[in-house]
Amino acid sequence: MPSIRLVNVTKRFGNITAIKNLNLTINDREYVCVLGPSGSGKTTLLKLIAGIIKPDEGKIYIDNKLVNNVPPQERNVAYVPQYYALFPHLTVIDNVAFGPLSRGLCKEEAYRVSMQMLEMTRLAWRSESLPYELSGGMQQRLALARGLACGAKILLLDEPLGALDARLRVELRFKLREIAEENDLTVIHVTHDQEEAIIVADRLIVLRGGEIQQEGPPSQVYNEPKNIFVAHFVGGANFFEGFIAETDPYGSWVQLRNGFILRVNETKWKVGERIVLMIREERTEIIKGTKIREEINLLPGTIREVSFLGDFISYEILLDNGDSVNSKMPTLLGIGRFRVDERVYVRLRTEHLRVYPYPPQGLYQELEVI
Amino acid sequence: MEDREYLCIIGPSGCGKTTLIKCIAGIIKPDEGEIYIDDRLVNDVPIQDRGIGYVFQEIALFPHMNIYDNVRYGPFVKGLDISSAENLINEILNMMKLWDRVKDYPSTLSGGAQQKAAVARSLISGSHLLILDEPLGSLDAKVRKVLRYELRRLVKDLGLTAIHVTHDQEEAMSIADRIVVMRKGEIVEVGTPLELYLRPKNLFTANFVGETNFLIGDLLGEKDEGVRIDVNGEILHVPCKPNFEGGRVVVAIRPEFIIMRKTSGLKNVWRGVIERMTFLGSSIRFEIRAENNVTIIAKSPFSSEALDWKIGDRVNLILPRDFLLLYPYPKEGLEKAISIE
Repeated sequence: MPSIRLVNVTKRFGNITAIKNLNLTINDREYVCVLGPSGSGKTTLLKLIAGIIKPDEGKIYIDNKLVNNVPPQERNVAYVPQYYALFPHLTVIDNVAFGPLSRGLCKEEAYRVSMQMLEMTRLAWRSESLPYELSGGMQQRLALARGLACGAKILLLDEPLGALDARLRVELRFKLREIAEENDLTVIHVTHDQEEAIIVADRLIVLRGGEIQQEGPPSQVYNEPKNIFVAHFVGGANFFEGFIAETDPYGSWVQLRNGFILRVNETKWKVGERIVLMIREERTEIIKGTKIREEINLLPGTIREVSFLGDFISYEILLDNGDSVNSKMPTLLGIGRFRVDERVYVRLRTEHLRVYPYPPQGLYQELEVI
Repeated sequence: MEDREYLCIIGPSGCGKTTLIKCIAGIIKPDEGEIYIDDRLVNDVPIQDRGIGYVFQEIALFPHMNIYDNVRYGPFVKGLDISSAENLINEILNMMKLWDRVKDYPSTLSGGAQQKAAVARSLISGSHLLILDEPLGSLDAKVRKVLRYELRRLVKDLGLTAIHVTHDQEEAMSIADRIVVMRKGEIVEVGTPLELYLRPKNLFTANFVGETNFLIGDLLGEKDEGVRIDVNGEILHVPCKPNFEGGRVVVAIRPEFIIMRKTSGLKNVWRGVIERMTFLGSSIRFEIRAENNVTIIAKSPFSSEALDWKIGDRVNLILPRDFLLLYPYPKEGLEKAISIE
């Protein structure tokens, strides 16, 4: 049963701590995505598991065996680096057979296994080609086949789709999952692309500064982000600064800039506390009309910009208090519905509003992922 | 290309999009044909005299110069009077919110901020035509999304004309006035983002600008201002007259235009069973096996109704007539016609 466990793992490079006291368990046949911005420690985490680098502190277990001192080739893991590192002078089949051969398999057996891997990744018909003759997507599949040829059941993928065109990436996401399921693999897939992570993962791990910010099924992380960073990094979100103006047993009133008031369902906050409100872009509603309406959580504003995203249309609204809101709606509902400069109301339903404490270093700094 | 237009060129790797803009910029020369900028034949005009700002995918700032010196480099090497360029430098740096970073060196800035500085530098010499070669390609997904709008705003605010090459169709859709789709050195289609999305003229575009269902069927004949098509035993009514000979056809429909219902409707309703559900964030993607054994992809905005569906549920799929697009079955086969590799 291939499972992976990291206990209090720390890794430093000089005075930079890339991984901070990290604890993580990955189960047999789980497809886990590690998501985070550049420099968050994603690749370091993968290399620690692969055995390419060693932790400064903590323990790493694979199949309940302590592997801190086990070399990569004996860990039962296949590591596929971001830039595939294929042998340019070897044919497709020789690239794949390299692993089994260097492990001492007889030639016949090595090529039989390699051909199986190529069939699985649908590359058998190109077995005599050289890597540069393949398209980017095929090279990616070849790297995968080579990684798996040694029989490893744990697959470590570092930005496996990063070098490919956007459209191709979308197609191959589903292929990766299929291959993992068909072969009972346990997969750790590292990416900075939140859309990709949401789609392929059973479980999402959001990393920042070498620490896990949140982990859970994609829908849970998306719907109930634990902090501002996760809300911002995983999906489109609107943020408003404010403070708690009043509380009662059923909820609280939040005062935004320039006197705007919003109702939220949470009761755990103290009056006067500085907070940040969050709402997902597609959970906001835009309402036509300029008449003053006496309804809570309805804020007046002006449409500033319209942009088309394919299946969604996004409207940017400047609220009268100076805050701005991005609102996303399905294209069919949104086409030509509002003009730039049109006066509208934005409805922010209580059930979709999340409240977070105001970050000590400021909201802008907290959101900066670049 | 029109004056002050924001044009995006999209297409898979190797389609010739970068070669095309290098020809426009004058980095390479065409073997045949003529290139005009402002009605002037420029085939023999060197790069620096074409009045073009060029931004590369890899951020190419001078690491030993601070941001200000990087940005004013153009007028400086051209021997222009820096003080006359100063107003423009200040305006652009302000506009790009780089003003408080002018004394910093590139390595201390984030990738996004560095690329903004590179854009600023390309504009300082007063170019009105900006060529952007995958300008956001080396940045993280999240940063890319923010920066693309800033780029468009800058181009529009300064009244520039921009040619932006990208392999990311969503990026192109969200910022372009018009999009040019290229494949194997040829232009496949040109149109506004909405035109390409709603009414793509060919199968390759339909597939390249977003996920689409392609249903292969046979034309049965005309009926009620349209045609009937047999897709593996189920009949589809498409309200258009084909401008090609009958026989095998491909019907395309985007997953987000398919309506899922518990009860049945009238025409163009197929029955099926949900086989897979994928959470996409703002929407949910369903894979449904229809009774004619064809797999249909449908997408529904994230809502409590969409969440009510479960794997194994029986569902009625409404394929709205107005969103069905009809194409002749391609000679080379469907897979080849839409291949992006």
